[in-house]
Amino acid sequence: MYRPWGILDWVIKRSPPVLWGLLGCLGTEERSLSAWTRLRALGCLGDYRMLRIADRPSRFTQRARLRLRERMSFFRQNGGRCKFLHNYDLIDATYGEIETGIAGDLKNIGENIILDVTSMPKRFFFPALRMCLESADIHNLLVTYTAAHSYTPDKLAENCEEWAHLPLFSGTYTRQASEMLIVGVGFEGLGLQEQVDHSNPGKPIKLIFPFPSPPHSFRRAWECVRKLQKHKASDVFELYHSDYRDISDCFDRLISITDAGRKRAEFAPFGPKPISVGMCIFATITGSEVYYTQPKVYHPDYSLGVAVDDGVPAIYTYCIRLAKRDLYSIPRE
Amino acid sequence: MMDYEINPFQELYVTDTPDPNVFVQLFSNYPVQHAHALFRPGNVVLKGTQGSGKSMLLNLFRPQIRLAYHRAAVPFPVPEGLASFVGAGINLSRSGALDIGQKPIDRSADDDLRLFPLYFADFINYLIVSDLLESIAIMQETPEAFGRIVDATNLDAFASMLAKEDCWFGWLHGVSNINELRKRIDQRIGSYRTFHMSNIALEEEICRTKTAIGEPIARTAVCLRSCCVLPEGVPIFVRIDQLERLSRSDSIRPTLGSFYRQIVNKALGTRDLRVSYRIGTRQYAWEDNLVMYGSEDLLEHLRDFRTIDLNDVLSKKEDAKTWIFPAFAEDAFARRLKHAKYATYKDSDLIRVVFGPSVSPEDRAKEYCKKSSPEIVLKLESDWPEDWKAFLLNLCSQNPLGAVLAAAWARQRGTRGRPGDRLKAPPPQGAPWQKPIWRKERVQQALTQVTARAAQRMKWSGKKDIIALSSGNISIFLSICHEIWEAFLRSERHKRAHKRTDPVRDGIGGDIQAIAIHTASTFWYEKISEQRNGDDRRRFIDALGRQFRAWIVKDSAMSYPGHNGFSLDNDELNMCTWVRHFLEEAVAYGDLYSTPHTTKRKDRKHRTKWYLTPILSPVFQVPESHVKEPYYATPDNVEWWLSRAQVVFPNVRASAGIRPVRERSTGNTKSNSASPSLFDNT
Repeated sequence: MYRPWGILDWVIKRSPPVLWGLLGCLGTEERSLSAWTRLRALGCLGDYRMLRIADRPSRFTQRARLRLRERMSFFRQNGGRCKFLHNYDLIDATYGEIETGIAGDLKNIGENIILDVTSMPKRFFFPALRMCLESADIHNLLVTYTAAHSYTPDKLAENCEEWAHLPLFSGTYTRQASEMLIVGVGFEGLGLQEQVDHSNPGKPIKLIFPFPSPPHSFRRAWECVRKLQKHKASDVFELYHSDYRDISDCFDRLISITDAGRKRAEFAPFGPKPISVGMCIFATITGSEVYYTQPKVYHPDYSLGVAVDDGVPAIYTYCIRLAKRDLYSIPRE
Repeated sequence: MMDYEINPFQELYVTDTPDPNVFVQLFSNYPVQHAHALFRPGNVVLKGTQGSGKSMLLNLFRPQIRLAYHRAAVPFPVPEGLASFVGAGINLSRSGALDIGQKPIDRSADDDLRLFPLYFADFINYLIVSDLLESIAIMQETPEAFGRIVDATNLDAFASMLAKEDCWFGWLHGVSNINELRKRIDQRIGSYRTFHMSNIALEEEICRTKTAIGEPIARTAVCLRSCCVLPEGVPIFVRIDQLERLSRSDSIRPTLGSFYRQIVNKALGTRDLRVSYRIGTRQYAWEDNLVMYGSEDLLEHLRDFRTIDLNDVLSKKEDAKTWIFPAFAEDAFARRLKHAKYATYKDSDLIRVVFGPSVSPEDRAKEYCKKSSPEIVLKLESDWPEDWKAFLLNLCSQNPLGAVLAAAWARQRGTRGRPGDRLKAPPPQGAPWQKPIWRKERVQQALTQVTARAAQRMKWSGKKDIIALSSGNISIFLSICHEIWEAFLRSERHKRAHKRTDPVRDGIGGDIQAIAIHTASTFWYEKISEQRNGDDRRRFIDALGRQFRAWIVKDSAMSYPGHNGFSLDNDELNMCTWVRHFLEEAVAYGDLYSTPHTTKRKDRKHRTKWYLTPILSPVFQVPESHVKEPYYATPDNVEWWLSRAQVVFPNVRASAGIRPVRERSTGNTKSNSASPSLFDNT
């Protein structure tokens, strides 16, 4: 199935002429406001809500404050309204609080929605996207992701939590054990190594490797793969490539790996956001478990700047639902 | 010629959560011999740090493992008289049990807080009964593997009887056979899961039929026996692993986690002989909370439960003859070689055959000093008397270790003298620095100083060093073996077949071992941040390791050879709850090692000694052995190391008020004026 995606400007021009409601996340990164800014510039931004998510206090708190001030200043100067900001605690927010909050936000921003996952932690965007997908009130749904100019060479995140499923992704109950673990490979696998080392021998591990991808990302992802494979027989692993920007490619790959969902899989989204979005959609449709080791602290300079694609900000935009038609579904015989 | 591409230790943790068939080949029954209580009726708490083998032991309760032993025609490692049992259990993190409390169930938040523990109890009751029925099903399918203890003819009658029990409050009403029973139980578990995955309310009927902790499990046991599905006297063991997730995890609110823990305590506290619980938990986490839910009563050791501390079982005792770890390691080592089809030429002491004996300290010192002059190695101050200088420089050229020890002896003041007194007399006859105890306590410090002065890296190799670095942890031992074998294979691959070394016949060279052990140490060091809150702990371990190294290297008189560890007064530490928690967590995750400390001070206060776990010694280049008195520290010292490690204290968090507010009733950004949020002034 053709599932359109591309730079925001390109997609918006070809989408229904509506005002788009935006649910995004204002964070320490410059790119966190790129989609909001561009949509305003294109004159198609309707209501919006921005999450502000606080890490656990850490050695980075002062620097994070500084970055947030910079973002807030930009937001206000460009007409952003503080009443549309909603605060959450990264770790302590319960599923109930996340669910109720996001449900309220979605209701307020209308039936044509853009979910900007750029700076939204997985603990929030996974339930948000699931709720969008399960809502019959949403007519059009786009997901945006803004690529960064560069990333900090330091560790991106610290102090991970234990291996646990993401909110709303504990999976449909069955006595049948999953047949495989599908891992989205990223720059780092904080806490993932432990899980891979200790997971059931004999259970295949499928690595979704982001390729093609920029050279620096490619190197870091390979290093991650090398470490993951250190203590297991190599035949446990299978490596699959997926374009780091292409949700559709990842989704089709998952259909293929799981025999259209007939083989039960559990997911570990540690890779680039678009690949995680593909996993999220697939896990929502199949009722699969999604596990993660949620870091408590993110580096305040996780990314720097905004990538540019053909002279415009690289805000990749993915059509998920158009005119009430879901573009992502699993073919059944 | 043997296949050199096989590393027998490739799958490091294969015995932790096993593939049943591989488990049977590789499981060493040594720990079982010292944990028989685990297979006798009564509640048992199995404690141990990560990698100590808790999960490995608890896995023996899984019928799938028992089945694998049968299929492989390998005797089940539990003594015959204790091997008739039924096992069931839950995985707290994977089951979804910790989701309870994440979403409101009732209309009022107060009611929810009161009711969440009851829903938690209900959920785990159903999960455990479900798993118990699954075990019965597996045992029924292959009765010969389980001593034919399950009689399946009455399963439907059992289901019907169980369904009529009042503990279910009618949820199983109408169930008349085993399939319906399992379906109905699964339906309830599925309803909980669905509730936590969507905005569908929890079924009203579930809210009205919450079961009391343990009761449905016990009734199931009674019905199984009444209907002769199980014979009388066959114990039912219920395992709950990773209990620390209830009390020391951020995935669950602390108050709620504490209540959930009390629910589990209550299951143990009923002293119900119908079912026995097996609790797996990390060091220290068990003592956090012994209160039973709904009362102020505490669980009592020996009356309500027994404990098996694997660290204690496997750690080195004063009398080395009682130390079982070397034999355990030997058995695990031999099984790996056999599984990898390595031909062995001896049946015993294979570790020594492959890795050889450890190098003597004298030879190590000579090796370290090979490229350094005696002046550099001894680092004597300019004002030393000429006779001493001449004596030491001469000694150093033959016996560098002896010379460094002699120099340290000369720097000391002795029992009655003053610093420098010993240098006023010529070097004594009889070499007092060679007195066994004095020397033994300082040999490792001397070697550390030699490497520092000669700009060399400390080396570990040979059986004794490897066992010492493993410190009773089988995972560490296997990872060292893994790295050594990897390095060995790399060094052999370029050789022609006829020139290759057979590691099991000829052994693996010390230099290869030394490099690989350093790699293994780095692996365990990096692994710290793979664990929960590990980045904070890793920075703390960094600060501590650097401090120990500085103390050991700079103490040229070798007056404090035990300063590769510190000791804290237990009373003082108990006053600093957060520091205590931090240190205990570091022990629980295997970053630190702690042991009671018999103080030499007159106050005779109870103290605890804390050391880096030995496998981290190569990374920080400090001795792994623990001798003499450690550094007498205070909690303030620990706080200073923590602050150097940029670990943020909770009291700092509270006073800085950097916790954001969660309320969002009006949609406005709100902040509590008493505690400004991260977003204030932004």
